[in-house]
Amino acid sequence: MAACLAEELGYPILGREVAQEAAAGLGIAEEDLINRWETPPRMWEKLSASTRLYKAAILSVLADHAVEGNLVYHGLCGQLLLRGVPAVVRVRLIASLETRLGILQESDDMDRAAAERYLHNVDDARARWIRMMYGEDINDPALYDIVLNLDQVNFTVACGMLESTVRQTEFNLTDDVLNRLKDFQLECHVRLALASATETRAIDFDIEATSGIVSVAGSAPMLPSGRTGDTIHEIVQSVHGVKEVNFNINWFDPLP
Amino acid sequence: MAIITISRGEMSGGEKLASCLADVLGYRVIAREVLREAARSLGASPELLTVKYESVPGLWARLTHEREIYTLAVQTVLLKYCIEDDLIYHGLAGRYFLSGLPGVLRTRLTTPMEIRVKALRRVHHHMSQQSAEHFLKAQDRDHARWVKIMYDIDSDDLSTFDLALNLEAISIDTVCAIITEVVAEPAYQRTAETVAALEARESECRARLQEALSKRD
Repeated sequence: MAACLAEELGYPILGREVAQEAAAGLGIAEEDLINRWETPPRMWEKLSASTRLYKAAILSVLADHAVEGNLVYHGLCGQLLLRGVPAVVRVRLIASLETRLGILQESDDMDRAAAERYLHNVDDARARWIRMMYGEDINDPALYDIVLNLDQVNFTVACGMLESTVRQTEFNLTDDVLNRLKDFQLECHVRLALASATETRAIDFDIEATSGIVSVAGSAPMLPSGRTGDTIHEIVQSVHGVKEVNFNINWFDPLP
Repeated sequence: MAIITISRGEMSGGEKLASCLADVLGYRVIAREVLREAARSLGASPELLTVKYESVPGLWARLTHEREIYTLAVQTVLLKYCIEDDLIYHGLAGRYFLSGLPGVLRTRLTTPMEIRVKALRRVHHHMSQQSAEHFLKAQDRDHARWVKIMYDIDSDDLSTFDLALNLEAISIDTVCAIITEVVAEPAYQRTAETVAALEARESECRARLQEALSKRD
């Protein structure tokens, strides 16, 4: 479907390349990032600094590709990574187990039992991953703009329908939309900078950007030197495109 | 030319979508007429059938014979309408009654709570935001229980739909255009085969209804 849409719309396709670029940016082995990113995290890993860093790195790369609009992304979790971003059509394709088994057996020359085991494992891992990372149900229809059942809707019809949906006015790349995409990219870059720095990697921040003005919210430890605030400010200010930094941070005493 | 079912929550824009589709496609729109006609065919009042059919059954009432009769009566009437002409149905359980039939597009409309609350408060000006949200969530819960008990399917089970659309980012007009485009495809054209399949299902339902009625007597 990604290939069909890319051809019809003339858009580039992006999938696992996101993880490759993110790994290169972090200077780690691609397999390490992919394993960590695609394997459901344990409870303690969900909030760990490295999970936050990988998530920020992936999102940052995705935002770089999405900033101009016109992209077909078929990697993991696009419906949540790009939630709230304008001019994004979040699509889920579903098909019966029988249909999927047929496709897999044909493409990968698997026997039925192996194909069934594979699909069960992949589905289970993805559902657990999304539940652990985002607290969401992968099958919740509210997470998608369009869900297509390919057992019922012909593939070519589905591709044509998605193509014409993208061409509707609500998905036009207006100046406002392009500015919001730039803001989203800046938010992702700031989040990655904070997740990468030793002093701030353990802190979970909410970031909002509007035309270069960045608001940093969350809870952070207050040190007598006041150094934490200065450090956060320096890190955020160092990100290309940041013009101004505003804090909305609840400071707490780390050693009460 | 097709049969389109729309599944949606209360105040989700289902009627507006049905109306848009009817304008564009020229199809007939039906919803509660099915219930009224089913009641007439059983010699019951529409109010009684509404209570018996639409209310969430208690544990003791789940498998009662009466409930089976009401369900079969509603399904038979709906199928009769489908045989007559192309239509848009936005009443209860369309996806279940018409599952597996050719020429049927089973759609689901997902609408953010914020939009639904606004729509409800436009009708009931005295309702607070909180009570409107509370009311709609309670309706959703009841509906999910009803679907589970009556048909043993999850209300949100995406595999029971052919096409699900979310009004968070897409307008009703675009949803209408998408559905119109899909039903223009050959798979949704009315043919002798699609009508025969509808007639066979209707005939089966009618026979089951007669059998259930004879046992009641």
